Amino acid sequence: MECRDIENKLNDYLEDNLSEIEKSEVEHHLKTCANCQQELAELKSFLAVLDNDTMETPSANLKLNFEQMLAQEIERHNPKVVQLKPKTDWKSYLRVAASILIVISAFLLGKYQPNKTSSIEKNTAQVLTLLEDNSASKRILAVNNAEEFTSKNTKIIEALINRLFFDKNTNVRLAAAEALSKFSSEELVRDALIKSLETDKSTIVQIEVITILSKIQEKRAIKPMEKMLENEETPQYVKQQLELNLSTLL
Amino acid sequence: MKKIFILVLFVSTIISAQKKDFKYALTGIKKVVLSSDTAIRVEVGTTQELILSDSNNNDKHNNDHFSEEKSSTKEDKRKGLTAVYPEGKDDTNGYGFSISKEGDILYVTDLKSHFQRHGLFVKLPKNINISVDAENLGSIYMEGFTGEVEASANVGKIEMKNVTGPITVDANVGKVNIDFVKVSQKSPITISTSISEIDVAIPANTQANLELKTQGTVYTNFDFDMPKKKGLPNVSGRKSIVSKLNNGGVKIYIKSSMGNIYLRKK
Repeated sequence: MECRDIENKLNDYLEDNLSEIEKSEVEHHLKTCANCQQELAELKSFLAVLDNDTMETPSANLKLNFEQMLAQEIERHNPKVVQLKPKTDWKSYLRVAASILIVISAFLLGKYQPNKTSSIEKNTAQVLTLLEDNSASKRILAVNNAEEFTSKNTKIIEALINRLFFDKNTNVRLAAAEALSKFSSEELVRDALIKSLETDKSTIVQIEVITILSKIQEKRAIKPMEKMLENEETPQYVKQQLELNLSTLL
Repeated sequence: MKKIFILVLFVSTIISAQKKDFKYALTGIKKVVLSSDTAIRVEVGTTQELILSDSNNNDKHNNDHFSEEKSSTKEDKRKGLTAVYPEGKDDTNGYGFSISKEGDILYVTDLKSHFQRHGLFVKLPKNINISVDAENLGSIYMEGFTGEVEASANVGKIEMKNVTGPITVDANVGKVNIDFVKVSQKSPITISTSISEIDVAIPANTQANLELKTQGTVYTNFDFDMPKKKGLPNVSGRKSIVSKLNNGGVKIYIKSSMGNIYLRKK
């Protein structure tokens, strides 16, 4: 056995951690090796120093100081924790607010939709009353406004037809005929225009209706137009228009 | 002696003038609807009443000694009787008009035929709304009204001076001549005829959306921005000229089926 191995085991030897065989080997070596004896002695003295060194216990003052500092630190941390809490709350408030906002906006959006339809109804009512106004100029204004409506608005179309047939003022009937020509896809309107050709006494309206009917290629108008052409009372200039427009219809 | 003579003459003329005119107070009336088959001349009166009088024609008759005598004998015959016409009773002391009120509208309808009537002279307040129908053979002359004016004639011409609109005019064969002093922006102006020409003068600064439609020709000294259309040439002649004057405004629609349109800048 070499000195190096023994040296390694010296520590265990002193603490009595070795097996019997190792222990006897180490003792055996120590008797012969002065080097290792010295090593052992040094180790013993070193350990003795360690053993003799008493454990330094912290003073009560230190403990107090530490606890104070700890308390301070806790205090310093605690408000932070408290501050953090509302911060997270704000976020949830925001979430709640956003969800409320969405609900309200959805509600308003829903409310706006019926508003739109009711404003159309309101406009319809306005135009319908204006169509009955005493002033011819206002009635013409109403007829012009009525052109803006869609062909689905039968109330407006019926009111316009009513104007075409019964309005005392020639210009209102004329405007009604022109407005109705924009709804010429409707059968109702075509019928009304043919009827008005047979009944209207004003040549301006007659000429307008003749041109509209030929423009929309209404073949059913041919007969009443030919009848007008044969009628001796029809003025010459109306006959001219009839001939001109019949040629495009036939 | 001379002074007395002049005074007597003055009084007698006033009396005769009062006899001649029919007056009707227009309290609560907003619109007067007048129809007569004669030459109608409507002018602005100084009072808030309707004043009807025969036009100057009748003065000539009065000056004629023979007819005056004749009319006086006629008046004797009519004593205690009222004239009755197919369309109603005379409400105007022998003027031959029926007058009826519906709400704020006054209807003044001529009961006499075209042959009995030789012109009519009417005075009305400046700002009242007026609707005049010259029926078949009558014509219309109006001057100085600021209210809404409607006029309709068949054979006769329609002439207006110093009006503002809104104006709604339709004539058939008769010419239309309208001179605007300014153009009201209240509601649309519409002028239409079937074969006669239309002559309209409006101030240069008038703001309007103009639509002119005719198979005849349009003459004007306004500068329109003419919409340039590519493609097919205008064959039918039924297309209208649409233009804005001074950035647009009230709608002015002038339509003649076959007559020319003259639009003048004042």
